[in-house]
Formats: sequence, C-alpha cells, structure tokens
Amino acid sequence: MPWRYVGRRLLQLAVILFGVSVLVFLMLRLIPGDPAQLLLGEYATPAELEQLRHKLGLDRSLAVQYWVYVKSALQGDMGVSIRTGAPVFQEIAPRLIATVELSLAAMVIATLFGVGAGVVSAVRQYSVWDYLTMFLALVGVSMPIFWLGLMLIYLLSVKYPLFPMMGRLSMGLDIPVVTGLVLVDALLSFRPDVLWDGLHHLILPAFTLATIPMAVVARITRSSMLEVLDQDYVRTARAKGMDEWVVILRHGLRNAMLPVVTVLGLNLGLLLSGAVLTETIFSWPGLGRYVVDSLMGRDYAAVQGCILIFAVIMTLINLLVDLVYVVLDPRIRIHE
Amino acid sequence: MNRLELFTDLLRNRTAALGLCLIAGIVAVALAGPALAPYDPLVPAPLDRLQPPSAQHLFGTDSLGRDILSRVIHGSRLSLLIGIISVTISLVPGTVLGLLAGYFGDPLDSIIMRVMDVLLAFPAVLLAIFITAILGPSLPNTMIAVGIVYIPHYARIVRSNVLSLKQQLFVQAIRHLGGSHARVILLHILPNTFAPIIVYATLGMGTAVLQAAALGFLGLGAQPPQPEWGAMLSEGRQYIQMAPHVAGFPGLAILLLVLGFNLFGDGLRDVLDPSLRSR
Amino acid sequence: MMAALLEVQRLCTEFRTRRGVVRAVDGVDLRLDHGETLGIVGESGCGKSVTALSILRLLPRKQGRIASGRILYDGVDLVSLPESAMRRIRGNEISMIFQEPMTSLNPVYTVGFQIREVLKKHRGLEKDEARREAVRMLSLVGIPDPESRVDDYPHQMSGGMRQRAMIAMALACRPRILIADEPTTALDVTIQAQILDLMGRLKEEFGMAVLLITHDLGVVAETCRRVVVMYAGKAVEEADVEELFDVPSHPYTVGLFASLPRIGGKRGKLTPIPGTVPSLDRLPPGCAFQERCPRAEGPCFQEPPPWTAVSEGHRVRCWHPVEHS
Repeated sequence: MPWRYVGRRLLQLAVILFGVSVLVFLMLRLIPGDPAQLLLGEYATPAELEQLRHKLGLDRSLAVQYWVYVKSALQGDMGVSIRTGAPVFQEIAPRLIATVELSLAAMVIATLFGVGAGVVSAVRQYSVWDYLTMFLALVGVSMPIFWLGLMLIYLLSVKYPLFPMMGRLSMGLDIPVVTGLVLVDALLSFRPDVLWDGLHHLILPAFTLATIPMAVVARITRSSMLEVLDQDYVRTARAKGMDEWVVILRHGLRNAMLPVVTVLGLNLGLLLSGAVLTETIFSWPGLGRYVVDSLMGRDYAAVQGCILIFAVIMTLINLLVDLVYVVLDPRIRIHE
Repeated sequence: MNRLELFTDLLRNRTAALGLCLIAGIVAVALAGPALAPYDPLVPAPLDRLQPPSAQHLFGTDSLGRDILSRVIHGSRLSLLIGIISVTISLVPGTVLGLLAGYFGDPLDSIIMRVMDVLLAFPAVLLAIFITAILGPSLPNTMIAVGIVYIPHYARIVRSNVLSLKQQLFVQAIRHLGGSHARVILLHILPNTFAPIIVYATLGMGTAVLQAAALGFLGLGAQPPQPEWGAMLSEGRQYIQMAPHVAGFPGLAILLLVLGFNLFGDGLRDVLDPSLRSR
Repeated sequence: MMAALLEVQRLCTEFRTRRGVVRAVDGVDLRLDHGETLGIVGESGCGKSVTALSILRLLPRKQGRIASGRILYDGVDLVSLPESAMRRIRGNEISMIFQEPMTSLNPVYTVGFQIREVLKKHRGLEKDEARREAVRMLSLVGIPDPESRVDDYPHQMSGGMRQRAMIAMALACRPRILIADEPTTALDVTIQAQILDLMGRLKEEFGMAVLLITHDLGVVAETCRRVVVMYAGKAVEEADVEELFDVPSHPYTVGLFASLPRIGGKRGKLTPIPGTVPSLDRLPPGCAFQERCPRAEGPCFQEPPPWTAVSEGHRVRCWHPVEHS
C-alpha cells in the first residue's frame, strides 16, 4: 500500500470535511427564524429567550459558535432533537444502520446485475440482447425511482400481494439487536423466519434503489469491456489457448473493472440520494426518511447531524474507492 | 461540421432521433397546453373523485376530481421550465468558474475546485433538500436549489477542457501575439468548450427535471394546487392502493421526458464528439 | 519430399469494414517445414499479420473471418477444427508473439502469473511447479535475476525485457511452431539484435519452426531460409533467401531492395517506391501493383498475373518479371 498516496488523500479528505462542516454550520445560521424562538414557541418571554440563547451560545461570535459546534460534534454530541428531546446522535445511529443495510443490498444488486449485463452486452455487441439491455439501461438512468417504487408497491404488494408494502420486519417479529442489520442479527440469533421476513421486506426497496446505479454500471461495464477486449493482451491471452471465459473474465473484466469501480464510487451519491426517496416510499426507518421528516418538523439539529453524516460517508467511500483502485491497478500501486 | 450536417447526422443517429421525437412531442404538448387540455387543471370536481381512466377522463381523475390528463399537460410546461431554468443556473456560474480555474491555474484553481469538492461531498438530493429548506419550499426555490447542486459538474467539465485547450499551440500563439486574457478566453477557449457543455447540459436537463420532481414528491417543491408532476405523484401516493393511475401517469410523463433528454444527449455526444462514442 | 509441418493453401481472409467486405488475404499459399524459418515480408497492410492471425484463428471475431482455403497443421485442417481443439493448439503447439511488448502483456498480473497460466492450462502443472518452470523460462530467455523478476508486473520491465518475457511465455510449452509478428519492430536497434539472436538460439535448442513476419529485409536476411513477399493481400514472390536477395524478380521486391540503405552502396541511390499501397476495397483489375510499377503495361491492367517459375524453388507473380543476367 502506498502510504504517501493514502496520506495525501487523507489530507484532502480533512480539507473537504472542514469545508463541509463550515458550509453546514453557516447554512443553518442562514435559515430564517431564531432557534431559541423555535425551541420555546411563540409565547416565550424575552428573558427566557435571552437565557436560552446564552445557553445555546447563540450570543457569541460565529467563530466561537463554530468552534463549539465542531468540538462537540467530534465528541459525538450533535445537539438535541427538538421533536423528541433525545440527543441527535442517538437518533441517528440506528437509522444510519438501516440505511446502510438498504444501500448495501442495493449496491450488491446493482453490481451483480449491472456488471453481468454489461459483460454479456460487450461480448455479444450489436446482438438483440445488447440493444435491449442498453435501451433498458437508458430507461433505468431516466427512472424516477419514487414512481418506480410506487408502481412496484401497487403491482407486487397490492395487486399481487407477493411482498410487504413497508417497513423492515413484520409486526410481532423481534430479534435482539447486535449489529442493527436485520439480516445479520437474524443469522446471529438463528432465526430463519426473521431472516426470511427481513429479506422479503428488503427486496422491493433494494431493487428500487438499485435501479439507477445498476443501469449506470451496465453502461460503463459494457463500454469499458469493449475497450479492453480490443487490447493486445486479450489477444495474447487467446493466443495462449486460454478458455474463452478466462479471457473474458480474468483478462478482460479484471482490467475493465477500474472505471466501473470509479463509477460505483461516484454513484454512491446517487445511492444515498435515492435512499432518501426510497425510504420515504417504503417507510424504511432509515436516515433518508429521518432527514426529510426532521426538515418538515424544522428540527435543525437533526438535519445538521444527518447531512454531516451523509457527507462524511460519501467522502470516506470516495477514499475507499481510491484504495480499491490502488489494489486493482498495480501500476498505481508501484508508481506512487 | 456545419449546422446542416450536424442536423442530418443527428437524425441519422437513431438514439438522438428517438430522443428528439420525445422532447419535441412534449414541447408541442407544452406549447399547445390550454388548447389541448380537455379540462381545467386546477378546478376541483368533487363528484368525479378518483375515477379510473375512461373515455371522459383518459388518465382518470385525482382525489379532488381534477382531470389528470389536463394536469399532466399543464405540468409539462412546468417541467420544461424547471429544466431550462435549473440548467441555466448551474451552467452559467459553472462555466465561468471552470474557465477561471482552468485558465488562470493556481491559486485560483485550487480555491475554486476545493469549494466545488465540498459541494460534491453532499448527495445531490440531500443538498437540494437542504438548500430548499433554507430558502423555503416553493417551485422557484426548487429550481435554484437544483441549479446550485450541479454547478460543480459544469465547472469540472469546463475546467478539464480548458486545461487541454490551454496546452494547444493556437492558444499559446494568440497569447504570444498579444491577445488579452479576456480575448483568448472569450473568442478562443469558450467556443471550443461548447460541444461538451451542450452534451452535458442536455443530459443535465433530464437530471434537473428528475431532481425537481423528487423535491416535489417530497413536498419541498411545487406546492398544491400546481400541476407539477412530482407533486402530483406525491398526492397520488396516498391513493396507490385504490387509484394507482393518480401517481402512474405523472410518473410516466417524468420518465418519458427524462428519457428523451438522455437519449438525445447520448446521441448528441456521439455526433459531436466521435472520440467519446459509446460504440 | 517430407510432409510439411504447416501448409497454408489458398487462404482467403475477409474483413467487414464500414465500406463493405474487404479481402485482406487473397489466396495465399505457405509451406513451413520442421525446424525451418520462413519469412513473410511486406509493407503494413499487405496482409502478412492477418495471415498469421488466420493460422491461429485469432482474427477479431466481429470483423474478420477465413472465407476459404485450408491450413494444414500435421495434416489436420485448422480452419474447420472445433474451437476447443484449437485452444489446445494455441500456446501449446503453435505459439505467437506480437509486435507491441508494451501492450501485449496484461498490466494487472505479474509476468510469472502470465507464464504459469499457460503451463497450468496445457501442462497441468501445479502452482509451485509452474512457478519453478516460469523462473527457468525467464532465465532461459536471458532475464537476469529471474527469481525476483518473476513477480514483476509488466510495467516494471523495459520493452526488451517484456519481449523476452513474451518469448518465455510463448515457448513455455515447447511449441513446434512459433509465429513472430514483427517481434523487434517496436524495440531499439541494439535490443532488436539481441532478441533476434535469442530467437535463433532458442529455435535451435527447441527444434522449432518459426514463421517470422516483418517489413524489415535486414531481419529476413539474418534469420530466414525462405521468404514470401506479400503485396495487397497476395503473395507475389517466393524464394530462398539468397536467391531472393541475388535475383529479386518482382518489381515490387526490387523496389523494396532499392529503398533499403546498404552498407557500401552508392550514395543517393535510395529510391522509395512511388505512390502508396492501394486501398484493399479499391483494387484495380489486373495486377494490384500496376499503379506503382515502372514496368506495367498491357496485361497488367487486365488480368491478375499467375505464378511463374523463375528457377527451382523461386516463383513470382508478375507479367513482366525483372530479368537478371
């Protein structure tokens, strides 16, 4: 592992996170309305307001306020939700895990089907399969997933009740929370019924969320594979008498994965954006739905916390993508 | 390539032609709007609530008895407007920032691009939600929010094009011949970035429509009774079990319009920039 | 006469292009005997590489196909062989190395892995055994410190080293035929000589036959016993090396020699062949070389010339071959 490269990326990450925190901090100060007023309601006396402002540090300079905010955020203190009175961090954690579960499932679906369809399309270029897949991929990229989710619910939950409409588990089912990931917890506590139920609940939202990344991955895999399959080393592999699947997967796909990984990383933003919508449609108790609800309830501490978490996740995943890149491409590994 | 050639190439490109048909169709519907719509899109008709599609109401009616077809037709105007305005809001500052960053290099480049990185660190819908929350939910604010979110994309594309153009001999020659910075940028660099910008803006129209509809769906965009497609979907969500057409048709309209822009953008890229051809 | 190891008969290979189907190889005959080195010479686009790719059936499958002809290897026609049987021949009995050592090795695997891959496929060697064999091959092709270079990625090697590694990979299974497509073209002159030396040495050691494809008559003179000259998809002259260099009969061959700088030759005598190779989809009727030929007249513009014997083992396809006295 080229540590200098990792170090440089970490430094960039720190700069971006600093920018993100400043932006989130400032934006919330820009929101019209006095937080103290908001907290105490319209019948608060000026003295009460003054007292709360002082308690919240709102009477100090912006720089001091920012410093206090960052310091407490780093200690896991993101303030208190005005809707529930609970610390934001406590509210966020379990919801974050629900979002992670949904996103991971979607990512797995998008990668498996997207890469698979893209490879077949490239190998059978200009075939009926190729044209059909690429048209469907373009439709996928253009898909309003909130509509797709609703239509899936109508078709597969209402008209033909194959899947549950909402939530993570059926009423009455309960398992001890270890990781917070329902499927993992079900496995840990040997509850195949819960595992089955959880999977059942996961399929529709995961597919909905996977639609756009799957389409994007299929397109990029195809074009990347087409390019790689034309390379001299693929011909060399054939000249060595390698089986065709070895040529396509080991010599082709392995090299074609580089741009795919980049796109997968870039699409994380799409995935998290999609999570907001998907969770709303399927009443998935995740962070995306929570942030929208918080916004509607003018619960700014919660909003701030969520957005910060999302930005941190995205930045971290981008770093991860870079590292995967380094592993996949020995040229970077050695040169850096 | 002259304009006529460009046009015939576009028509010959099946992807672009199909996209153009979709866009043209929706633009025609938007222009003909009031003449085409069989009913008033805003006036409730309590006796006709949630009617399924029929001869009187081809797309059925919504929970207030309004004709969905008429609302979808009027909504096309809103969606096209959203696309155009949002893209303009991202395109103009994005292009300017990209030009400045690419042309003048560091330290301006680093400053601009780091700020862009910060904006890119947020998931798009979330940033748009956040901005809308600050500005307050409304249709114009949706356009502003969606516009701001995509500024960094244009800045990046323009910057990378400027960087490669700057290396080219003709640009350096003009500088040596005494052309001012403004002259070089406006007359020689900017026009050469048009092709990628046009392609990206076309694709961006689709993205903007989609994002704005998503905000509308979340209740942060257009407010009732405006016939915005996303907002209509949001309304239809409550009736998905008994009246799926309320959400169905506006969503289909979104899909077709976005698909049109994506098809056309893809085709445009093939025609304008053969090196990027997606074979 | 002993049966040939490889015999190409009336090979026609077609390519689909945007402007229609083009015949890249048109009725080529080749004969390669055991342990022999045969050279195919011609300018780029004359069909020599396509001929080589046709033999191993490595044509780009979307565009290229063998339209007709036979390729007899040990009496078996490779053209009609099932793909699975063909795979057992590639890299095992007939190997190929390419012009671009820079791009012919897969950048994401070590050189050792890429050699082991062949050994595992054709010899069924297990990992450790294959690794030892790979190291042995690398040392055989003259790579210093093979024990550690075996774990190098291609980009950690120079062009010459990579071509040596390619040769090691191609020869790992002791093939009976090595097809070398411009193996030295992309290399520095000094490296070129080393690689040619190496190939010559290994050919003797392994008792291989070599089919050497090149545009470089100098390389041919150093390595080959017999030569086939190709022009616009057709073989136009065939002879033993000495014979061809002494009495080139096709005006095109003569032109090739005239455009070659020679040690001791008179200054100012370098004359390039006028004009360019005609596009394969717009070949004139008659002889394909007519537009560039100083001797073209009459039948050259109407009929493609048939083979005519110049002497024992020397034949030419020309209406007006150059006479030497």
